[in-house]
Amino acid sequence: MKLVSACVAVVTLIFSSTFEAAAETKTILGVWYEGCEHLCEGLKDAIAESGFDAQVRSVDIAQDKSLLRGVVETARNDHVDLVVTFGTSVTLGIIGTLDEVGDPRFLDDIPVVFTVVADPFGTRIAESFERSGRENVAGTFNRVPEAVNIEIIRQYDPSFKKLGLLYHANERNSVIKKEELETLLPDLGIEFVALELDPGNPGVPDPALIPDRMAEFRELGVRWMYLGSSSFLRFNGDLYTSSAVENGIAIVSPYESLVRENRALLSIAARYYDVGKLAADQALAILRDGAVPGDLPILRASDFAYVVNMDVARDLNRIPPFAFLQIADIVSN
Amino acid sequence: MRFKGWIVTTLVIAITQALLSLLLILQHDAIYSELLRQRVAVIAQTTAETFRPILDLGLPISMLRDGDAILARGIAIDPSIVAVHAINPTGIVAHTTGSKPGTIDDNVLTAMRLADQDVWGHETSDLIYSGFSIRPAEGAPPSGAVVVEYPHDKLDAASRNIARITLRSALVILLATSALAFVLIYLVLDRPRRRLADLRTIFEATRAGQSYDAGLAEAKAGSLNHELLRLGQNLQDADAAYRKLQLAIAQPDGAHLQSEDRSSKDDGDEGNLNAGRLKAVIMARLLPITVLLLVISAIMLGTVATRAVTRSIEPELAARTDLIGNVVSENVQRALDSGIALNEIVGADQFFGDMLKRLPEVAYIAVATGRIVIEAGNRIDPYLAPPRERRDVRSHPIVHDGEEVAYVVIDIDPRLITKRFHSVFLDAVVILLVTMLLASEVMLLLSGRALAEGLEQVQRLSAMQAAGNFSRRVIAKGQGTIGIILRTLSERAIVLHASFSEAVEVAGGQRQAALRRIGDRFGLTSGAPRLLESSSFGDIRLALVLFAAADELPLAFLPIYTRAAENLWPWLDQAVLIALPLAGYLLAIVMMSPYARVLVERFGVRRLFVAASIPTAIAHLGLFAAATAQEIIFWRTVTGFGYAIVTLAAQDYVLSVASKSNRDSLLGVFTLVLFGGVFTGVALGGVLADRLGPANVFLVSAGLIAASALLSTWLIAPDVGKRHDPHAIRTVRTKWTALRHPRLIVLILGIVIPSAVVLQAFISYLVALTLDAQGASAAEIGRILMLFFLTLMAVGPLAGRLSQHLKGSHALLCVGAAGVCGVALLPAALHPSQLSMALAMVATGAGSAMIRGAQVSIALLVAETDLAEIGPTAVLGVLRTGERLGSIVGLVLIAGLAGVAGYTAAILAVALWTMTGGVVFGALNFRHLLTRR
Repeated sequence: MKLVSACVAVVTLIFSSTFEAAAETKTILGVWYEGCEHLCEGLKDAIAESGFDAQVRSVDIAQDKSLLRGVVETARNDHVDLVVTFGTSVTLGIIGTLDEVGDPRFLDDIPVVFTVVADPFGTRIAESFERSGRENVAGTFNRVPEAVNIEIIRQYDPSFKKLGLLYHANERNSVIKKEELETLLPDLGIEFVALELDPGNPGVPDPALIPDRMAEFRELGVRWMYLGSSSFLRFNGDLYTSSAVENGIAIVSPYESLVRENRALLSIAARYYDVGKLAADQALAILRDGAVPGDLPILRASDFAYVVNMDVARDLNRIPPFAFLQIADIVSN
Repeated sequence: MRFKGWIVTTLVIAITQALLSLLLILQHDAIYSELLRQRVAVIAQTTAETFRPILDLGLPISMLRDGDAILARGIAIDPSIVAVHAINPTGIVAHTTGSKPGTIDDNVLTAMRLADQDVWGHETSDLIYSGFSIRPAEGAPPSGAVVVEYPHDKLDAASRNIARITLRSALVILLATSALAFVLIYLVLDRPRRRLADLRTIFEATRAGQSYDAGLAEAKAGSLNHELLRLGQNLQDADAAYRKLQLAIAQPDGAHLQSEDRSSKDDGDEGNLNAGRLKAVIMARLLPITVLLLVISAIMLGTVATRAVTRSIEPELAARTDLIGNVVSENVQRALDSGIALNEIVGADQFFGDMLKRLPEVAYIAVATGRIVIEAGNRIDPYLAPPRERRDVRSHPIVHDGEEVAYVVIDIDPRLITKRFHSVFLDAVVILLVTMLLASEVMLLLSGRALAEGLEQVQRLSAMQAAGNFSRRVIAKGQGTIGIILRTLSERAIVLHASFSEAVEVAGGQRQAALRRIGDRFGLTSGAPRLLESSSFGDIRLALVLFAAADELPLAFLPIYTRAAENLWPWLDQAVLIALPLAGYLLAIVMMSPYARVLVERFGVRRLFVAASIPTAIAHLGLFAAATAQEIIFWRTVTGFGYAIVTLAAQDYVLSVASKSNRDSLLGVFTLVLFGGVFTGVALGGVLADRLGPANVFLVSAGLIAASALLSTWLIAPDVGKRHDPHAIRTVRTKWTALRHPRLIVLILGIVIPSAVVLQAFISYLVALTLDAQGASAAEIGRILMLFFLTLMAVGPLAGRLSQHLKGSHALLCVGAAGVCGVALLPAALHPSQLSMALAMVATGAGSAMIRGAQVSIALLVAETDLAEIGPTAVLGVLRTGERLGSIVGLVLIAGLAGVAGYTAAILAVALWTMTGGVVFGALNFRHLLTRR
């Protein structure tokens, strides 16, 4: 599977529009971790709806971060007008951290709008919500604070006392998330149980280990797990969430698609489609309105929703409380 | 006389009916608007509860996806709703069912910010806003709110309906009572009319030179016969004196004047002394009819209107219950639509339990399928349930997949419904009381001026002429007996003056000197006789009531009004800031009081009254337009100057028109009238603020002050109060002498100041703020506040008797009253509620009434004994200055404490201060008893 995806993930430039665009037509390059999905669609639709003369080209690295250096060169060679990045790994590969500004491996001469970065400040991608801290970078933010996710579980299940997290070392944001929760949860009175998916493997972990880890979590008395800040686990969401439910574990995640399309129980998240529209707003402000990216505040997503998977709730025998039903978006899967 | 009596009675009843109608309509609108807001608040509350999970997480309300759809559920439940908005704490509209305004109206936002309760509201001419704030914790600032806009039409229609019923009833009642008045007055005044006609015969016979035996000795003193016979006698004597004087002027050296003829200078008092008796006799016949008809007509209108109000609000109460049922049903249906079965629902008990906490009239909510599936609250005991079907009402089917799967059961707490209707009744009683009070003042003025003025004049003028004083005349009106007699008496004075003038002109030497002596003795001058001036306390009563009412109209809402205004001094604690208008007002009174008397003596009561009214009315206009707290402080201070001048000028007026014998009783009546005005203002201020908006109440105040000034111009004689030899003003030094007296100091510190702090810090400041924090409306605050003044007025006269009962131990009365005040404040401090506040009002009102009289008696005792050298005026001045300065300092201290520790702690401090003051005063006064033991 790993091999197949690596083979498939040649650098493919998928052009969504014609190459022979008029000279005034601006080019936006979207760099995706795993295919053009909801966010990519939102970006394209919003640009099209704006009437601004711009085309969106997409490049899919198919989880292979080693390809990002080539993407940087392509952007420079093709004189793209703006780059939109998806996820922490892609963003770090394209613009590096604040400490790496000026490093030729990263873009500092083309405007970049980052999206779906779980912790842009912890990873030193940006300085603050008010400004990114570098002239060519603007961004979006689409998460609620982790304390909020904990409170959501508490609202749902007042007996909640222990939270599990599966992490892997090859994604920096996965490790950062583990460290963040280690610090946060004791203050909230929650016991934290973190297991590494594939210890000792610095590369892409083996997804086949997921069911084993879930069984371990069950043995440790974990009834709730958090899944976020991991593109790999999100990509393997079906296996991950199904294994969790089989072990009586409910998954809460900022990835709404894991609830709608997989077997996660609960999420409070903004739609990626809406995040794509936010990225388009930033792109238009830069390309059309002439704003300096570094002067733009990080645009925060609104329109968050509780989404509950009722089939999973039944399987876990954890029916949402009445107050949740008044507000939640109920799905069955 | 009978026709005038009937007109006056009809006029007084008409004024009463008009005022009562207006107030009852306003009151109905206030209740209806509140109920409407409360009903709409159900939508606001239940919608806001939906957002609570998001806000409880610390997320902004804008972060909820599909928030507009959640708001739209409200409109689905009640399609009359114009729009529902979800706003963040800064007023930015995050979600809405209407077109999205950027921010909510500033006034609505202010209402949200100022509300201590979760439920709040605002009203414009087009819309009624009902809001519900979501707070992260109790007492914390709102993290968001839901505002529901409801059309004003329904209230307008209900108001029109009540107005129609009330005005129609008022007209019918007026016509009926007026007809009844006509009959009764014609019957009751028939005898006086006939006696007056007899008097005319006698008068004409006397003029023709026939002698007449009055038979005064046979009639009972004070009776109509006696007074008419006395008048007849006076007329006869006046006739004789006139004839004698004519002769004397013709032959000044002759012996026509006997040595027993008294000097005219002695006759004024006698004339005055008997002048009011005939008037009193006639009024004693007329007033009971007017009062009876006034009370009957007012009660009839009050009853009819209260019934109409009850009928009007009943459907609103039912509509709210119905709405709650709908909401419960919708909520459960939504849960079922998410794919779970009724018996799988979890957490609904808690959800509805939380909802019940904010719906006090709902005791129990359940969802049943034949058996109870979900329930919250406590069932109403069937024995307590009212006969109507309020209990166990099966309503609102819950439909799932097209089938009724359950239904909602709601138990309404009958006690709260009853309380609501009691409240309507109490409101009507308050309005009735206020209306009667104002009507009685109007009645006294009208009957005094229009009806009895001629009687009084004829009695005075005839008594004066009988005693040989022809210095006065009147402008006689009408062709009745009184008019004819007055005209004759006036003409005689004019003729005598003319003859005297002519005689003096032609006479010379000794003859002229003799004529001058006659002129001195009989009040004759070379010019025309002067007009007879008559002044009575009745002339100033209504003006005083209106002024006092205007001054106190804002009492129920001034602290809240100040809090809502922009503050230019952000460094100053808000609690202190909102006490400053009151402190400035008191300071103005302290500063103005020493000069009021001097000004009265220089300019007279009338000019001073009008002069003080102008800046006071302007100050109320300034308060109306004030945008900042600082403007409010300034203008309220100006009103303090006006209040000090007007009340002290009115007091001087009383002293000027009172004889020595009735001065004390008139001063007592003056205090009652003043407090009557205060009571009227407090009671009406809340009602008016509820309906017109607080700012507009200041316009009403300005209007009342203008009316008061006009009345004073018309009714007060120009020179009353003026003196050309003003007493030397006591120096500050005498005050220091008084302040060295230990008993006086203990009285001021232990009793006077704590009592003033109760009035200024508790009554005028903390009550409104505490009750507002409890969610009371301005009308409710006004109604509770007026209990204080009502008790003060009622207990005042009783306190004197109690003092006599206690064998004059004023000190004991003070200690007891301080104890009553302090203890009564404890429940209000520990469990603040409308009930505990009402009890505190009654007890502190009674306590203050007892202290008020007793402290003056103690001070006067000191003034008559230890401080005899500086006199009672200076001692009382020290007492009043100490009281006002102490109340200012106390008010600021208590306000500071309220800012730091809250209103209840501040009330507790007032209670402890009062009790400690009483204990210290008692210990020092009854030291000998303690030592003996």
